Amino acid sequence: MEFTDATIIQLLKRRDETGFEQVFKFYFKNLYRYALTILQDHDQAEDIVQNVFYKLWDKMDSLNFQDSLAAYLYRAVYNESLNHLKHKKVKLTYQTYITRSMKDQTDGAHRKVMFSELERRLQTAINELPEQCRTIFQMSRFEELRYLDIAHRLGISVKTVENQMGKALKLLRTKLIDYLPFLVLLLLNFLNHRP
Amino acid sequence: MNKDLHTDPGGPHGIHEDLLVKYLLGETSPDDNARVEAWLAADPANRHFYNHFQLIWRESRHLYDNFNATDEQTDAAWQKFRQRVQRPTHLQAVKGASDPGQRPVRINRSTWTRVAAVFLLVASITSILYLTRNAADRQFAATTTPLTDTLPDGSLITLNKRSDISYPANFKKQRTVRLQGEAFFKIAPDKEKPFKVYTDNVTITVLGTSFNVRNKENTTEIIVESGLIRVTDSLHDVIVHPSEKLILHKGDSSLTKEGTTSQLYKYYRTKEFICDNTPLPQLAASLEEAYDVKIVIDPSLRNLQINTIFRNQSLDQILNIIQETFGIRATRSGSQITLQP
Repeated sequence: MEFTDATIIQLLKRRDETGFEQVFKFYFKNLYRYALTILQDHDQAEDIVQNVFYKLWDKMDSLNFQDSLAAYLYRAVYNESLNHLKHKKVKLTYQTYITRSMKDQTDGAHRKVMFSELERRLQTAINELPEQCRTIFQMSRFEELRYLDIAHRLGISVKTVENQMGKALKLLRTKLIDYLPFLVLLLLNFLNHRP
Repeated sequence: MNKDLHTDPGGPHGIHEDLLVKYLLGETSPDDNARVEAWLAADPANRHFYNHFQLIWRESRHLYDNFNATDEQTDAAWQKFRQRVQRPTHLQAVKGASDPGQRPVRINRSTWTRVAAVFLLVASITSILYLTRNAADRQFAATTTPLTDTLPDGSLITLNKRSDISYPANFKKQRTVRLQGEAFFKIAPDKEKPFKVYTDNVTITVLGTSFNVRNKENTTEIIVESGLIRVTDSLHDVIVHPSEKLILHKGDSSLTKEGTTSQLYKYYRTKEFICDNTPLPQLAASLEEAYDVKIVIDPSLRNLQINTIFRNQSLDQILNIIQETFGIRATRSGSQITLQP
């Protein structure tokens, strides 16, 4: 199927508003979710995605899409989200994070997201994955795309997707290893009784 | 190297993580499955290692369940974005804004490119959506440039611009396509399953061959390059041979079948305009289509014939060659070109 990025990018370069709308709406949900998994804040996540699209609109002519539009957009969301965390120094420790979340909840503000200990560890480990690895994990796990679809969208080979997914699980396991024996004890029986 | 379990607590033995993850996600071949299952059965430590992957994968499953934006949120986000790019402070970023601070930015748009761009983009995105679904008809469309693609049975299709085809999701069982516009087909042979092309007035049945179909304004023109095809409509049932051209008109009992040696019709597929004693008006008609222009030819020049091949040349280059060949004058104003003595 050759509705190539080249064609879409060519169209975007004409700054066609309705065309841009299609692209915006096609990618918004997934990019928003991506930013949200990193930032854990709905408003910040939307701001990041808005900024990424604004840059796309504004700098269309000078942007260089080495691999694909999707790869560019996901990379931009990843980088902007991490920069945001760095600059605003909102990389909170677990304790302050929970305190804030609980405070927000009692304040009736449900805009923040709260996690269990396990989820928090997993989430931190996932966000520490390198960019390409993180994007591919996002697409596989949270967008539930097959390897082939991921490869097509990002303009890379299926082999690369395989390698990056292998790497992702390997890195996550390494980061969670101290915590895993406990979990395995807890969940092993449960898992082994499922097909 | 000693493959003892404890020498490398960081990785599995005798198998690669990539393969285990593939297995976990159901991306493996039967051969891979057998390999992974044998490995899992070989040592409880292997199973234990795999359980870690399983655990991480399953635990991450519901991590972000509530993180989906709704359609309303998406629409609201788009409106917000639109306002942002139309804000006067960003005027300098956009060409053609002559009245800063007064009006919102008018986006640089020429009506035709805009319409074409929107149409192609919508077609692209709906195609992507169609392809990722299982139900509905599959479709692809060429709007501003010709497009070549392979169908699920291996047949090759080149669509001229402003043309589209659709085919059913179970295409491999039932090889039928519906065509609007013009396309060249190179059909993968399959005697069990005839390939059918429907236009709004005719049905073309083939077993394995290549041919061009052009359906414009109630007229269907078919040129066969190899093999035989059978063309039927409500009034006719005709076999067309290689190098024959069949012309049918919707709701009209007359039909024309002529031998043809002209190769000009291939231009959108080959990027070559092959002129072989081709009358100038005929070449002009193809150029009009290819470059979206209107070419007006002085009546005194209508009988001129041209012999050449234009390969990947711009319209201006082609017009220059025509001028020099015949010693005539081509003047261009906007999208209209006038050829005069």
